[in-house]
Parts: sequence; structure tokens; C-alpha cells
Amino acid sequence: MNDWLGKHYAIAVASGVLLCASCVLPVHAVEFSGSGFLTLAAGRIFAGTAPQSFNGYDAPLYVSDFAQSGIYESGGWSLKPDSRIGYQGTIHVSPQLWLTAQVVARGVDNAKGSVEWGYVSYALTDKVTVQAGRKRLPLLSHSETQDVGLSYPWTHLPPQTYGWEVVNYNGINALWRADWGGWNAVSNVFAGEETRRDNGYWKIYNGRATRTDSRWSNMVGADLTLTREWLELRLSALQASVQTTDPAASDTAAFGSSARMRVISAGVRTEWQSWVAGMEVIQLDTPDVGETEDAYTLMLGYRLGKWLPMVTLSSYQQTLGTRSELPLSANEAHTTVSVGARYDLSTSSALKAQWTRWMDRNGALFNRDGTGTGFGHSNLITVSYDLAF
Amino acid sequence: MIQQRRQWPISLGMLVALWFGSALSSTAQVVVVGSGSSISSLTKEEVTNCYLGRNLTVIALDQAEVNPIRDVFYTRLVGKSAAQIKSIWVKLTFAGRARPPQEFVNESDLKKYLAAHDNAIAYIPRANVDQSVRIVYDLQ
Repeated sequence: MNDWLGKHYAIAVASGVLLCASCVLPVHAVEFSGSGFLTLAAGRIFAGTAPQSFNGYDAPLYVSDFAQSGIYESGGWSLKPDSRIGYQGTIHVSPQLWLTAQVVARGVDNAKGSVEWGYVSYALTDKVTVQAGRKRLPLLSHSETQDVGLSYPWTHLPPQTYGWEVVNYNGINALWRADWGGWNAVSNVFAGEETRRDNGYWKIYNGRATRTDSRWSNMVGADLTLTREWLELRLSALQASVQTTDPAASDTAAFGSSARMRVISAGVRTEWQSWVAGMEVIQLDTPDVGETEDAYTLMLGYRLGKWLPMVTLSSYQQTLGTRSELPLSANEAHTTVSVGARYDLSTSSALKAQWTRWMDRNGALFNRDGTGTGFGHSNLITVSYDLAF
Repeated sequence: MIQQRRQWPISLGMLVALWFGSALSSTAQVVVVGSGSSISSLTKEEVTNCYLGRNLTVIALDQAEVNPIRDVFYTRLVGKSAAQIKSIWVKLTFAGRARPPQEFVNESDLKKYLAAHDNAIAYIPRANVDQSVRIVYDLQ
């Protein structure tokens, strides 16, 4: 019951705010609008390092989505890691006030639906909107729509830059739009917290059968997107207190001591003539535990009518300092190179195919269960059908 | 029989003229507001910002997804296909950052909306401009 309350508290608050606001605002005809998205994806590891077990997973393995523990394991085709369906409904109480909820069912959760978004929006002016409830953390360009495959060119987002243990928050934010000398600016400030029970992210590191809870509290952050013609620039920053429970303890384990974390990211994206190019970098710095994580993605594509062939390079590097409980050479590091293409079947659907090479560059002591070298090197083929409806 | 022979070339000519006229009017598009709107004119960049969710102070109205003039409009305005535009709006919509332009199947409904909303804009074939709307940008 407590878990249920925790997960739905922000949505309940958002609904309460909506009800109160609807009592004091002028009455308009309440409208409902809804839309959905679907990704049907299949993938298979067809070559890599020798078969082994890694924390209960069949390696070599390819983690396509760290946040949702979407993992392609050796041994055959799999539909689960990247397939999902979602629906977003919005109740428009007035032109200034609306309530939005998004439910997503994933292959990795055996299609059990979960509420990813639930928030109330109020337009203070035609340039400022405040929102409260449950939302996605806007760390990178595609973070907020990481479930919506039609919004990006790959079969799945580059796991090195988009793979973090917490991707939602319950809290408040304010969006502000402006025009700065020909540059269109959208800025966003937000604050909140998130607790993830039995976080699948940590099963990858601590063992498939373990249970770890995560909490990011006192989150304060901001993001800024500047757009001008064919160029888009993006910056974001976040600071939070992070805690986890001991995976070796019982289900009711208390959270350990908190550590300060700072996240900064920058991105640039351009669509010039037929060329599509993008770069994103992100750093998570947690000095209290002597850990810094750096990741980047570089992408280059060229539009040929309805086709978008592209190449992508993505890399993750963890650096452990003297304050870390782990030996310095227990750091995690990997790089992926992918070649793929997107074909727009219609205005609202696309087919994609992608080959990705995962190269482990972990430190010598990264493998914590002593049975192998870690994720292993792998080659993954993925195909997907993406639809918005 | 003689009369029929004389009529055929004339009818064929009229059909060809109608086809060309129709093709031209469907490709010649203009951005319009209601005749009473305070918006006097817009630049290409301003129209682009309205239709790509960058300026929410103006209500941008869209043609139905099945209407071929929609694809022509976005190709001429920003050099993007309707599918590329949809991807942009999917991202904005599911991120809760903007609402996509309202779609109209019926042009008379669209013109009624323009008349009722001072800050709304729409694109229509030039041939369909009448006294109820005023041109603020020409996509020639």
C-alpha cells in the first residue's frame, strides 16, 4: 500500500490541483484528446565473445535500455527489450488548464502497464506554463520521449548516453518561451524527487535475483533549448541527493547515506539540406563516493527521400576515485558503433534496421561475480516498426 | 455527328485548362488570418516558428493529414516532409511541451475558426482566398 501511495502520490496531487483549479476558473466545455505510440522491435546477438554468465544474464549481452533493464541476451531473437505500447490522454479543462497522463506497457515488464507521466499544466501567460505531477527527467534531447520510437531515428536510444538509474521525477516545473535576437528559446526549471523500488537498473550490476531501491531526492535542475533555422543547441543541469538500499539486505532495507550528484549535459543537432548530424555529451559527478561518469554520442545521417541511413558512435566511461569503495580498476566502460537506417512508411509510421557493435572496455576488476569479463563484446541486429496513432 | 465532332476539341481543351488550373491552384498556397485579425504580415521564419511549436502565442491551424496540400506546405516552408514534421510534433506532444496544430477537414470550418480567433493562422490554396480571410504570407 505504501509503495502504491508513493508511486501515485504526485498524480493524486496533480488531480487535486486540477479539481481545485477547475472550481475557481471560468467554466469551459471540457475536451479530451488522446494519442498513442507503439514500438515493435526484435533483436538478436549473432556474434561476440565466448558465451558466459554475467550476474545471472547470458553474456555476451547488449543492454539497450539500462533504465528499464531492456537487455538482449545471447541465444536467440527477443522481442522484449525494446517493444512497448503507450497511450497519452489529456483533459482540457480550459485553454489555460489541462491534465495529462501517459501509460506505458513494456515487453520487459510482460506488458504490465505503468504510469510514466501524470501532471497538471497551467498556462500563466502565452509564454509561461507551470506543471506539477510526474514527468520525465529532461537530461538529454530525447529523454522525455525515450519511449516514443517514432521521435528518433534509431531502433533504441544510444544506451551509453541514455542509460541512467532514474528517469522520472515527481515535482513541479515551469516552461518559458522567448525569442532572443532570432534564436527561439525554450527554458525549463524543475524540482522534485523519485524513488524506484526494485530498480531493474541495479539488477544488471548486483545480480538478476537481487533487489535494490534507488532514491534521487532534492532534485533541482534546468534545461535550455535554442533553435535557429537548421541548428538546435541544448544545455541541461541537475543536482540531487542519491541513495540506494543494500542489495544484500532484506526487502525492507533502509536507504544508505546520501551522496551529492551533479549532472550536466550539452547537445547540438542540425538538419542542413539532406544532412542530419548530432552530438550529445553528459557527465554525472558524485564526488562523495568518488565516481564520475562521462558519456557522449555522435551521429551522422543523410536523407534520401523517405530513407535516413546513419552511423552512430556512443561511448561511456566511469572513473573511480580514491573515495570509491571499489578498486580503481573496477570501473565500467563501453563503446558502441552502429550502422542503421530509418524508412518512413507513412506520416505516422517508420521501419528501422540497425547493426550495433558493443565493445567492452571495462577495468580489469569490473566483473564483480568473478565468472567472466563483464557484458562481453557483441554484435546486435535490431529491426523495429514504430507507429504514432 | 457533325456537331459532336466540333464539340470534342473544345471539351478536351476545357478539361486540360481545368486540370492545369486545378494543379496550379493546389500548389499556390498562402498563409491567412481572419479578416479582423490584428496580425498584419508574417515572415517565413515567423510562420515556421508557429508551425514547429516554437511560438505558442499564435494558434497554427493544420489541414487534414490526408490532404496533399499539407505535404506541399511543409516542403515549401521548411523543406521537410509531412513525416518529418510529424516526428517533431510527436516529440513535442509526448514531452508535454506543446499541443500540435488543430486539424481541419472542412475548409469552411477552418475559416470560421479564423474569424473567431484573432491570433489564429492557417494555410490554404490561393484560389480559396475570399473576403473572410486576409493573406499574411505568400508561399510562392
